[in-house]
Amino acid sequence: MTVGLASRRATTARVRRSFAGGDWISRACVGFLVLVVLGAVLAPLLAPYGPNQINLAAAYQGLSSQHLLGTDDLGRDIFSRLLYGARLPLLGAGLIDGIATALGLAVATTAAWVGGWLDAVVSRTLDVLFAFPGLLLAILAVALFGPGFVAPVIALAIAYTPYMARLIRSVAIRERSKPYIDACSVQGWSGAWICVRHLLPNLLPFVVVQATVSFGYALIDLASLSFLGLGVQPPAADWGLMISEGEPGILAHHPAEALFPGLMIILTVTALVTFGERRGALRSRLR
Amino acid sequence: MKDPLLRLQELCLWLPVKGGLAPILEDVNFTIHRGEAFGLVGESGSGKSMTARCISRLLPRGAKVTGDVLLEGVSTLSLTPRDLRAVRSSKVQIIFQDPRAHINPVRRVGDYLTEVLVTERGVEQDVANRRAIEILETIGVTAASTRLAQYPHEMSGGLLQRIMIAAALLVEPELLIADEPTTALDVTTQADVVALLDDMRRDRGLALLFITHDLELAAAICDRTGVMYAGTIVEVQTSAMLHQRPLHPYTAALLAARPSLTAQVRPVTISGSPVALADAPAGCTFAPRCAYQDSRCRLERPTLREGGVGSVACVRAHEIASQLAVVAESARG
Repeated sequence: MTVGLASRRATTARVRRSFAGGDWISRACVGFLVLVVLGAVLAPLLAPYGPNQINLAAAYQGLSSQHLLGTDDLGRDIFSRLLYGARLPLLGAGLIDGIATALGLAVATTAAWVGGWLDAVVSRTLDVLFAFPGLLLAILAVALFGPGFVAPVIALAIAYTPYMARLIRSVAIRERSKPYIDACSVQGWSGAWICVRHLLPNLLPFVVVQATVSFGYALIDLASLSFLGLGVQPPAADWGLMISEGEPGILAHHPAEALFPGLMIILTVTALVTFGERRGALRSRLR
Repeated sequence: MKDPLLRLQELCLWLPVKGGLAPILEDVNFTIHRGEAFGLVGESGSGKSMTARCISRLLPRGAKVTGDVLLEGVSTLSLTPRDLRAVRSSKVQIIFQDPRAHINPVRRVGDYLTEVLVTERGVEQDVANRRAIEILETIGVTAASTRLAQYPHEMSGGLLQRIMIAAALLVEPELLIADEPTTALDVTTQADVVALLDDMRRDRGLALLFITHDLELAAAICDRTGVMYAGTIVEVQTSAMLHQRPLHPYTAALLAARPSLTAQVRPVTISGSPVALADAPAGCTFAPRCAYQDSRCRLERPTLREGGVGSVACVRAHEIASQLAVVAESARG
């Protein structure tokens, strides 16, 4: 009906505005991130070689038309490995961020809504969790469950939750005291309903900004674990792992294997954090 | 006489402050019958809104309430959360002062209007939409169907206030509490909204608790009016008589403080400034500012007593009645 049509048009207009409305830096960041994600998703189609296709005769080759970014000590194509190597970090960081955000939202909204002793207990627990560096927690998880993909992801997700929760709690407490929430209570809705349908949508802008920035940090932490040999294991293609495997190459004057994944991590994280902060700044300007 | 729809009995309220509880309301008593409009007037901070919030039990954490609020004979203060929600979603609706602050900014107006019907009453979404459009058209909102898809920020304050009124009327409550519904609006819109509320009350026979600091407005809408000062009700009587023959010195002083359109008289101000109940003296809360106070006023706090036409909380009410009538008379010009 007319209602649906008008609302759909308004929604698409809003989506368009939120992407095109940013400045060129934000747009460049988004463009780069889209390229990275596309590269990771379409790696089987784009990569000229298999990520683990060894060709000892072609070891340590420079940049050429056969091997765009050269080859590593086993003759594996670095460009192909770079494309495949984006998959686990992006997936892992996404999982960490997603779990941390979901947990943070649930914990923080409940604490802010119920208040009183529950809020106090939650806040103090968060403070305790803050005392543990994320990486330490992840190393602990690896020590307990062995290296791999799952253990560090879960450990980092738990380590990231307090950061999300504390931010969301502060925003939720502010929103909760706004008159429209009172007006909702007077309508006779349950607290849970008001939280999900009315409070959450008002928190989302902040959550999205924070989640974008912490995605970048999660990416770095995951790469650090892989670099330390605590994450995914060889011969998997993974940026952090590639850097550590490329170390001997640096000494042998073949820095490509460590250089390019390092660059990709820096660029991706920079793009994420820049975009996130610009979104945040835009938000606060609009308010 | 039939049982009233709403009866407030010796309602007292304390709110938590640093280091204890501060008294906000003391001994608030009044009744509202079905189809009746009751006005509650008073200065800012006199406890009008808090009284309204007590009725719907919309109180901050840590608030202490004694006395009782009886809605159709049932105490809303002792309802279980589930029953309280049922009362809120079907019997009592509140129209707030500032519509822009009281409507969720990120939800469509249509959602705001129909959500109660859909979630609490199980009405189909398109039926609810149709009813929302009907109500909006009744209260003079043009292009009602496109309004449903808009967001609050796309609307003017007057329109939003109508949306809020529509939302309150949609659930067909027994009691409508209007908490200064026209304060945020300009005068012409104000007149529209007031006329609208009056129509709705007559058409639907709902009871109206109209909170305002505008005596004229209360007189225009309400059958009876209560005057509040420092968390107590000092006088209740019919709106017409309140203007002609005020029973409490405070009411008379309020009437005298209004500028007149016809007479060339300077409004008489009330000396001093309003006090909070917590800072009020031991006797009559109004005594320090009252022109008629004597030693008895400082001894104990007078309670609201029935007397002929209305009720008044003043120990000297009988002695000064004729003087107050003169004050009101001269204020009318």
